[in-house]
Amino acid sequence: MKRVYSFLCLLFVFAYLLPCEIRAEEMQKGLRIQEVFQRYGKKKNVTMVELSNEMLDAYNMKHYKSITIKDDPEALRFIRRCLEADQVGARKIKEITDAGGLISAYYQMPGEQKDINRFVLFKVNQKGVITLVYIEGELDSDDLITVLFNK
Amino acid sequence: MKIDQLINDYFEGRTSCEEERQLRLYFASDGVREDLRKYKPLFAYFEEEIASAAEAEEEKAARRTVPRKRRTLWYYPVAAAVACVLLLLGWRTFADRSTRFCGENYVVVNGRCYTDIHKIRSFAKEALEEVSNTDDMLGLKPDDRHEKQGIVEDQLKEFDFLLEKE
Repeated sequence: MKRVYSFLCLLFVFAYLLPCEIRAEEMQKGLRIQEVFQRYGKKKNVTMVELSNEMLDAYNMKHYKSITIKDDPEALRFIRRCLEADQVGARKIKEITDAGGLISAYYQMPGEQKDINRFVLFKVNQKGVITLVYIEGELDSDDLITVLFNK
Repeated sequence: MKIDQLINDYFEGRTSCEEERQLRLYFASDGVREDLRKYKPLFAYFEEEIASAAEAEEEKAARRTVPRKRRTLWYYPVAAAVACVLLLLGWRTFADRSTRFCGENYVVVNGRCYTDIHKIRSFAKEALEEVSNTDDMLGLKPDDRHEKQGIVEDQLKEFDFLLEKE
C-alpha cells in the first residue's frame, strides 16, 4: 500500500511539473539567443534586463530581455553564431556587416502563439560593446520602431 | 563391565564417536545401573544438545527447500523511470528559470541582481538606445552626418538632367 502511494505521488509531481516546463520554454522556443542570456547573464561586465507583463502592457509587449556585454570577443563570436542560426526563416528588417562580421541586425520572427511577434535586435559598437535585445508581443515592426525612437 | 570400561575411556578422552554414542544410548535408556545414575545428567545434556542441533539443521533444510513466492515488482522499474524523467524535467525547468532568478522584472549588473523599478527602466532604455543608434557604427559623428548628407544631395543633383529629359 505504501509503495502504491509513493508511486501515485511520483505521478502527481510529474503531472504538475510538465506544464511548467512547457510554459518556461514557450517564450524563446527554438531561439539560440536564449543561450546567450543563460551563459553570460550573470558574468562580470555584463548587464542583463528582463521585463514581463504589467511593466510592458503600455507598449503592447509581453516580454523584454536585453543584455549588454563589454570587452568579450568570445561572446561576440558566440552571439554571431546564435544569430546566424536564428535568422533562418526570419524577416530581416536590417542587417549591417563589415569585414569582421555582423555588426548590427534587426530580425522579426513569428511567435509560437497567433498574433505574437518576436524581435531580435543586435549591435556591436566601435568600442566593442555588444547589445542584444529580445522583444515579444503583439506589436508589429512599425510599433517597435516607434518605441525605439520615442523612448 | 563393558560400560564401566567405556566410562573410564570416556573420561580419559579415549572413546570414539561410536563408543560415545553407545554411552549416550545407555544413559538415555531406563536400565541404567544404580551406581552409574550420577552420570546420567551428563550424557542426557549431551543428548539434548545433539537433538536440538539436529532439529535446527532440519528446520534450516526445510526453509531452503520451500520455494519463495515471486512477487510481481513491476512498479519498481516504472517508478525508477518516472523518477528519472522527473529529475530531467526538474533540472531543465530550473536551469531555464535560472535567468529569472530575481523574479519577473529585474536587472543584473556584474552578477548582482536589482529589482528597483527605476534602475531597471534606466538600463532597459540604455540598451534600446544603443541598438537604435547606428551612427557610431558607420563611423559617423553627429556633425559628420550632415556633411555626408550634403555630399549625397549634391551627387543626386548631378542626375537631375535625366529626370528633366523625361
